Amino acid sequence: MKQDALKIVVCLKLIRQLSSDRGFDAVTRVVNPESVVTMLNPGDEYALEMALSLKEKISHAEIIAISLSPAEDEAVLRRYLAMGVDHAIRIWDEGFDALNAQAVAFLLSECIRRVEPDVIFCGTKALDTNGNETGGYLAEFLHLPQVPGVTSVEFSQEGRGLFCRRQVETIGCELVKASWPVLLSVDTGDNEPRYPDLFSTLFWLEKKIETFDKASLKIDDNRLNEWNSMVRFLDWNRPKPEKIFTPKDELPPEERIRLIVSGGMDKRKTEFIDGETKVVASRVVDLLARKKFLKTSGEG
Amino acid sequence: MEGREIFWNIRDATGMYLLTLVALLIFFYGLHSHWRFWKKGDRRLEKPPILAALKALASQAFFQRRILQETYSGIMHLFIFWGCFVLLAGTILLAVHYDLLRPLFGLALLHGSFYLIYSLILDLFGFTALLGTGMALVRRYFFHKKQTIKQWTDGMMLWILLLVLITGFSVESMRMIATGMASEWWSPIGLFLAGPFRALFGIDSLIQAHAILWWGHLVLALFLIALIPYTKLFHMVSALFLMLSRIPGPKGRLEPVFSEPLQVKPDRLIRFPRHYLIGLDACTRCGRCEEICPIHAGREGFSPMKMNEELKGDLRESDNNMSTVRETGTIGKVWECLTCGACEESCPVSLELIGKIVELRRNRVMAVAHFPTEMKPIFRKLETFRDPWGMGTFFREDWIIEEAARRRLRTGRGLLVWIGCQSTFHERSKRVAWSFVNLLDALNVEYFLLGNEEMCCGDLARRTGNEYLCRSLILKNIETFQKYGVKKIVTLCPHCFHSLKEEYTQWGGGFEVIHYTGLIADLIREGKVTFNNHLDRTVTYHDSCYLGRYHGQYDDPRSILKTIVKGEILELEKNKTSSLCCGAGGGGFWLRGNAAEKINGPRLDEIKEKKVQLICTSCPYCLVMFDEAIRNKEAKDVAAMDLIELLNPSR
Amino acid sequence: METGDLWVVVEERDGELSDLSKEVCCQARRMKGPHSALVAILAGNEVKGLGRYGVERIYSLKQSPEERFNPEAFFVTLADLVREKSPSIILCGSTSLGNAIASQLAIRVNGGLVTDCLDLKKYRGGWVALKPAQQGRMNARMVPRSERLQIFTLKPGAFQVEELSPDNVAEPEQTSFRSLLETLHTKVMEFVKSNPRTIRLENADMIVAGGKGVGNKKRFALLEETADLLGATIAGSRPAVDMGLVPYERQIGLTGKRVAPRLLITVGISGVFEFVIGIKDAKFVIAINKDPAAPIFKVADIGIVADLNEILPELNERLKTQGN
Repeated sequence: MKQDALKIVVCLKLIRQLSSDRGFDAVTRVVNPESVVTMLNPGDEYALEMALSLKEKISHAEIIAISLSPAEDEAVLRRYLAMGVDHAIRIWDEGFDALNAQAVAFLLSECIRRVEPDVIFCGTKALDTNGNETGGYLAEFLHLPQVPGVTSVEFSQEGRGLFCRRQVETIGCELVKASWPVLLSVDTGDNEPRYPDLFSTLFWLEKKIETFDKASLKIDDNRLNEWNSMVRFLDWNRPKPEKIFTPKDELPPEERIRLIVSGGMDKRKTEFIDGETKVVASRVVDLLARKKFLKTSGEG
Repeated sequence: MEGREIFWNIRDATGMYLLTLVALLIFFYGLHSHWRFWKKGDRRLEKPPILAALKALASQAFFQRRILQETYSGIMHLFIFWGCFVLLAGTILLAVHYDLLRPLFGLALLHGSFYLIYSLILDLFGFTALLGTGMALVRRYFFHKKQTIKQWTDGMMLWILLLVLITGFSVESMRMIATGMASEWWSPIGLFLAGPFRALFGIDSLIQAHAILWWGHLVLALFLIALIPYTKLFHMVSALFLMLSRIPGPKGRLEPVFSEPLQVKPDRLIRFPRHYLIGLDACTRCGRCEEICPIHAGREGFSPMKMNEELKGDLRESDNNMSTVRETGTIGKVWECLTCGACEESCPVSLELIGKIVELRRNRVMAVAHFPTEMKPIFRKLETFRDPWGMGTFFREDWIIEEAARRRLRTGRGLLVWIGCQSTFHERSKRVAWSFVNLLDALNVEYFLLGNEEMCCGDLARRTGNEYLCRSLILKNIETFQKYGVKKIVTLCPHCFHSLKEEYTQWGGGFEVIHYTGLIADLIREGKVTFNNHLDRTVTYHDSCYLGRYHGQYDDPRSILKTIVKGEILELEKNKTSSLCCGAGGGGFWLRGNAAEKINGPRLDEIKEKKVQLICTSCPYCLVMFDEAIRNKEAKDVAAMDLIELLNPSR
Repeated sequence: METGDLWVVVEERDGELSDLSKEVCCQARRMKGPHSALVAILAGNEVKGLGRYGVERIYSLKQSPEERFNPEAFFVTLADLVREKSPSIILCGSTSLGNAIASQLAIRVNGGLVTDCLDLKKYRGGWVALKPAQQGRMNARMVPRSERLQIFTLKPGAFQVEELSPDNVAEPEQTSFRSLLETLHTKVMEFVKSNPRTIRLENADMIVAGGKGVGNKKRFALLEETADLLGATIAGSRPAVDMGLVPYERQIGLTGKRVAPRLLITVGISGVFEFVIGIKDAKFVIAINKDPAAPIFKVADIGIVADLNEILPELNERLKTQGN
C-alpha cells in the first residue's frame, strides 16, 4: 500500500575501530592512535540500507541521518551519506568525546525531537563500545516503542504499520507488527548495504551537513550532566587469558589438556590430542562439555 | 602495339557507370550510418600521434604482421588482401586510363610494355586472391573451428568473392580466345583457362558467354563493394580509422575519467568512447581472442568477441548508453575477465579490449552501482583500511623481521622499495619481501621502505572499475612520494609496477619505476653481483601477464634464472606472449568466480607432464595462485617459488 | 549499601529456563546483600526449579502469550513494577530482549546500566562491571552510580552456575496487572524457531566448517550430523563452496565471511591464510586434519591429526550419548 511522505531518521555512529590487536598498550593502557580507523558502525550501515529500501517502496519518503561526530570525521561520514540520504545533521561540541551512552542518547533525542520522524533506525550495538543500549535509551527519551534486532522490514497493508522480522539470538526469528512512530534497531539486515554511485559520492562531497551544538539544540546542561553521571568509565583492561581449567585429579597426567591462550590468534599455542580414535573422541567430548559448549538436556 | 580493347564485346557500357554509382551510394550510406553511430561517443582526450598511426598502417595493413601471428589464416588473409588490393588498384588504373587520361589528354596508359606488365601482375595477384579465398573457404567449412559467432553473411561474402575472381578470369580468358591470344603469356591464368574453354564452347557461344559473364562479374563485384559496410568486410574501413586513433603504449590501456581539479563529465561513465565504438565495428570476428582467453573454456565462459558483438547491438539500441545494455549474456560475464591481455596480444586489429571491459565495469560500479557483492566490502576496506585485506596501515610493518630492514623504514635515502599489499600481508608472499630486502642489504644497495605510510597502489580499484577510489589512493601515495622526494621506485609486484609506472602519470607521477627483475638483471650485467647457487632441478619460468605481455619484459627474469640454474630452463608451451594467466589479475583473486584450479589447473597439468620440479614466478599473485593450484591438485613433486627466493648472493 | 531487593529478569521459553538466566540467578545470589531478597521477574508462567538457583521470591507477570515475548509489553509492566517496589539492582541476560528492556528501564527510572558484563565486583559502596569492548580486544571497567538503580546485563557464559539443593523453593508473589493489549504499538505475530544450520554465520555461536579434505557430500554428511548434535551452524572454506558442499553464504575466509563464534570446529581445512583471516575472532578453535603439517594447526587451540572418516563417527556417537 502506498504511503505518503514518510520521515525516517537514521542514527549513524562513526566508530573508532582498533585495526590491530596490538593497538592497545597493556602497560600504559593507551590506545595507539595509529592503529585506529574511523568507519561507520556495520549495524548502522545495515540500518541505513534498511531505511533506503523502505524508501524505495513508497512514493515519498525522506531520510535524515543524524550523527554525533566531530568535524574531522565528516569525510568518512559523507562516504556513507552518499548511499542515498536526503539530509544530514551532525552534532558536536566541546567535551562530547567524553560522554557516556545515556548522555549521547539524550543529545540525539533532543535533535530527533525537532525532526519529528515517523520511523527511527539505529544500530543495535557499536563495535567499539559494545553498548547494546542506545536504541533503548532513545526510545525512552522519545517515548516511543522499540523493536530490537530487526533483520528486515516491510510495510503492512493496513494503516501506519510495519512488519519487522526480528532475530532472537540464535533461537529463532519473530515477526512483529509495529505501528509508527517506532524505533527499530538493526544488528545485521538481510540486504547487503549498497555502495554509492560516483555521482552521489561527488554530490555528498559538497552538500551541506547541518551542524548543531549544545547552544543551538538548547541543551539543558544540568540534564546532560545528570545523565552523563549515571555510569562512569573507570579504565581499560586487557582481557585476561582464558582460565586454565583444571581437570579432575583422578585423570592421569597425560590426559590433562592444558590451554594457553596468549592474547592474539596468531600466537595461539596448539595443543594436540593424540591417541587412539575412540580415546581422542572421548577427550574432545569431555573438553566440549567442560567448556560449556554442549547443551544440557532439555535445551532447544 | 599491345593494349586491350576496353569494353570489347560490350555494346552499351553506360549501365556500368549507373550500377557503379548505385553501388557507391549504397556503400556510402552504410558508411554514413556507421559514422553517425561513432559520433555518439566522445573523442579521446589524448591526441594520437600521426607517427604511431602511420607505423600501425604500415605494419598491420601492409605487412599484416599481427594477422600472421597465426600461420594459416595469416597467409590466407595476406593473399586475399594483396590480391584484391592489386586488382582494385588495377581496375582504378583502368578507369583512370579510359575515362580520364585518354579522353582528356589523349594519353594511353595501358599500352605497350606497361600494359604487359600490368596484365601479368594483375593475373598473378588475382590468382593469389583466388588461392586465399580458397584457403578461407576450406577453413570455414572443413576446419570446424569452435567460434561463438559464425554469421552466414561472412560466408556469403567469401563465395561472392570467389565468383568475382572466377568470372574475372573467365572473362579474360574468353576475350583472349576471341581476340586471337595476343601476348598470351602475359596473362597466364587466362591462357591456362583458354584450353578448357575452347574445348567447351564454339566461338559464337563463347562471345555470348563472355558478355554474360562480364555483366555478372560487374554486378557481383559491385555487390561486394556495396555490402562492405553491412558485413564483416567493413573491418577494412573501421580498422583504418582505428589505426588513426592509436596511442602507443603497453597493453590494457585505460582512458582517464577525471580531470583535475576533480571533475567528471556526467556522460563520461555512461557513453562508450568513440574509439571503442569504432573498435566494435572493426572486429573481424576471427575468434583468436576467445581461443586464447583463459576463462573462455569451451563456449560457456567469457569471450571478448561475443562481448563486442553484443555491445554492437545493445549500444546501437540504447543510443550509446552503457547503463542500459544487457546484464546477462557475455556482457554480464565481464567480471570474470582477468585483464591478462592475451586477447589484445592476439587481436589482428589491435582492439583495446581490456579498455572496453574496464569501461563497462566503470559504468557498473560508478554510474549504476550494480556489481558483484564480493567487491563491495573490498571497496569499503580499501577506503577505510587502504588495503583490500582490511588489515590497516598499522599492520604494514609486521612483515619485517630483520633489524637491518627495520632501520630502513622511512629514511628517504636511496631507492624506494615498494612492497605492495600482497607481499605485506599474505603469509606466503611475505617471504618474497624478506628475501628481497635481505638481498639488498647483502649487496649494500641504499634503499628505504615506507612501512605504515604505504597504501594500496590502486591497481585493484582501477581494474574493477572504481576509478574514484583509485584516484584517492594514488593522490595519497603521490603525496607520500613527494614528501620523501622519491625519484626511483622498485616494486615486487608487476601490478604495482604497471600502476606506478603508467597510471600515476595522470596525477603528477613522473617517477622512474622498475620491477625487481630489472634491478637484479642490471646488477648482474654490471657485474656487481654473482649468485652462487646452482639449482640442479628442472625449472621453468612463468611469465606474469603484467610484466610480460603488458611491458614486454621476458628476458630479464630469464637471464637472472640462467645464472642460477644448471642446465636448461624448460620453456612451457604457452610462454612469453602467449603465457597463460595465473587467474588473479583484474580482481580475479578477490572475485570468487575464478577458482585457481580452473585456470591454473591446465597449466599445472602441462607442468607435471613435462616433469618440471620448480616453477619460478616474478609476481606475488602468481606465486600464491600456483601454491593454491599445487595444493588443490596435490602435486607433490612441484613447487612454486619466486625468483628472489632462489637467489643467494655471493657478491 | 543496598536497601532494596536484587531482581533478576528471567527469560524462559516453553517453561524451560534458559542457560543464561541460570547464570544470572547464580550471580545475583553472589551479589545479594544479607538484608535484601533475590526476586525473579517472570514474564510468563511458572517455571519450576527457580529456587535451585538461589531465587527467593517470584513476581509472575502472567502475561498472555501475545504480550510475553513482546519487549514493549514486558517493559511497560516491568517499569510499573520497578516504580512500585524500588529494587536496588536488576540483573538480566545480555540478550536482544534483555538489553532492550534494561536500557529503556534505565531512562525511565533514572538509573545506570552496564550491558554485556563479564565480571562484577564490589567497588566503593557500589559495583564495578567489566565489559568487553573493541570486539573483545579490550575490556572496560564501568561504575554506575550506587545510590540509583543499577542495572547490569550479563554476557552469556561469563558466570558460573551453581545449583543449590532442590529443597530451595522460590515463593511466588501476587501482583496486579492491567491488560495491555490495546495500548501496545507493537505486536508479535509469530515466532519461527531457527534452524542452527541456516542462521547467518556472523551471528552463529558455534560453527562446524568443512574444507577440501572432506571431498564429497557423503563425507560432508558426517559434519552435518556433528553440527546438528551440537546445535552448531555449518560453514565451509572456499574449496568447499567450489565443490558445492556449502553455498556461498556459508563461506568463511577472505572472499567470504568473517566469523566470531564461541566454538569453531574445522574439518579437512588446511588453514591457508585466505581462510584464517576469516576466523581471527573465533574464541576457541578445534582443527581436524589428517595432514600434521597443515597450517591450521598453527592457529587452532586444539589440534587433532586424524582422518575425519574415523574421528567424526566416534565423536558423533559420543555426542549422542552425552545428550541423554
